[in-house]
Amino acid sequence: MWRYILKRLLQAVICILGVSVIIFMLARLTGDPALLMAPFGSPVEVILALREKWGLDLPIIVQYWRFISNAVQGDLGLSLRFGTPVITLWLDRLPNTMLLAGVSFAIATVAGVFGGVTSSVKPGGWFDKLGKTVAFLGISVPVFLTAIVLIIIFSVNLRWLPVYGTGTWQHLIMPAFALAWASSAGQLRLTRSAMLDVLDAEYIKMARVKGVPEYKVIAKHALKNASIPIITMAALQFMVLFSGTVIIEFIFAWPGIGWLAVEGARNRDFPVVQACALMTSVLFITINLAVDILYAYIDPRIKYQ
Amino acid sequence: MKIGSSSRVTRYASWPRIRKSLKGAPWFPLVILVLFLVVGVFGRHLAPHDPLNINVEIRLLPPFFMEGGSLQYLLGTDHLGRDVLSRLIVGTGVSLQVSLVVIAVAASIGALVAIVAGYLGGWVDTILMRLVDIIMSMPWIIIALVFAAVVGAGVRNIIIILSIFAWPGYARVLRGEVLRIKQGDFVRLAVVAGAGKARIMLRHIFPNIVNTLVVISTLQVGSIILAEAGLSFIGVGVPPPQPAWGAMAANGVTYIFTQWWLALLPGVAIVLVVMSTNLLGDWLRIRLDPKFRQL
Repeated sequence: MWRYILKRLLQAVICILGVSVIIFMLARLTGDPALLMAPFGSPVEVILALREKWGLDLPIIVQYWRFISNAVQGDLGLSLRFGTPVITLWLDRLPNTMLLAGVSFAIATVAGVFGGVTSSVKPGGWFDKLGKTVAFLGISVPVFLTAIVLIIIFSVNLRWLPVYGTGTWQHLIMPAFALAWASSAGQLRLTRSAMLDVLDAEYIKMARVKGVPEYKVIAKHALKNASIPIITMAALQFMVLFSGTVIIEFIFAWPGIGWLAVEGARNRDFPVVQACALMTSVLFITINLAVDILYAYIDPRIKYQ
Repeated sequence: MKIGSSSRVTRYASWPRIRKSLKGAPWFPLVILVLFLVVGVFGRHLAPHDPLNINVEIRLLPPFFMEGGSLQYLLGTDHLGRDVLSRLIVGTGVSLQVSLVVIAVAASIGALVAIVAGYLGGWVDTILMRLVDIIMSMPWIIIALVFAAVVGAGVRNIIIILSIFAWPGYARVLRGEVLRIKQGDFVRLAVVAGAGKARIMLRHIFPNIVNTLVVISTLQVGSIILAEAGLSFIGVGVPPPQPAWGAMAANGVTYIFTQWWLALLPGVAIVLVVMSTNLLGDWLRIRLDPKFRQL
């Protein structure tokens, strides 16, 4: 067990290092990060001073070491636009994104698992057909179009919900649903196929023969055994959903990490975008690690591998 | 038997076979995709107006089926008076170009990595698959923003960034296939016969993953188009004034309370194409390999 956790931990650290190398190299694509980091239109002296300050004349390995050791201490530079440390900006916006992603993940998981289980109980039935169609549309419709259609219906025509901003629960409804649809589609498809595999098993027949009520067979005997692929998929879907928040936050002016990153890129506020990329990758890797460790508890077979 | 008649026999035999293999083909998606291809390639010649021509006097005209619309501008005009239909038609080219190039690059790299990693195994496999893990654990859309902040927006940059994030998916699925194929008797026999590693990978393993490669590629076209539209939507895709579907939708959002169709029309174009590639991909998957259930 500990061996497994240790191994996964090591892999996560390697992953984070790899991501940091890639992001570090991206900043050096144009050759001179001082031009990116200096406020737009700075005089040559300022840029030269920055080069000196960051040691951009040093060997690349030394530069990387500085970058990574500063990052570990929470120093990812200052925003060119706001002049504040980018790490505080990121941390300020994190709760908003987590709220949006969390609510919409909850909607997607409940809808996806419920839809998947109900579809699998009667394959080919009307609910299965409906679920298939809804899921198919979910993966084919761009997330911004869902948002646009929701805005046209609920804000423009019915005038029920506010379009922009944050603050009340009404502000959360449209962004959360627009985000949830696409990932609930993935969860529904996977839950359905995992359930169909399990429902074929001998122990399900055994349970039925024994006279266990059907709802108990489905909820307890089948769903519990189908839960491992479902949890894997849920973790993957969380990442997809988190990427989707970038577009959704941009449409609904939701003050989260995604909007911060988009505004940063549009204003060429490089330190902000870089910090968003690095911190969000670290967050992803940590979530993945947590899910993998969770498996070991759910599925005892993993411990002995 | 004469040579002439034998060739006629094969022709007779082949037509029903083609028809049989196309049985149940999704016709509607195929028609849409052929249209997508033709409009994408010849868009500039098909557009009724110049997509960049600004004429503020006729700005924000509604489509022809609405009150105040005209048949001259079938789908109306945008906030600068540019013809929406022409911009949609020319914008098709961007989606087509990006999706085809990205698929070609990602499929080549992905297949190469999968074959090398899967067949050779050992440390080569470990390193390559760790790289796949690293790339797959990065938020692609934010990395695309970093890239745009460094080198600026543009079609070429979108192609680069989407290719970087598309190949690991191929590598992961195809490597599984390679591991299975590697165990086949024909590969062992080739080894015994003295075939080199490169020859086995190219002549014995590669042909066996082509089906899977085609299926993944078809299913990927949709997600690449969605990704490109998403990037254009948040303003790091094709730079204005060049038309792109995502950017047109983003522009339309500003006018959503009065001219709602501006945001909706590009979205409909995207949905039609993505849905068609997904339907075709699903059909191909079942046609080419009923056992293939990944993705």
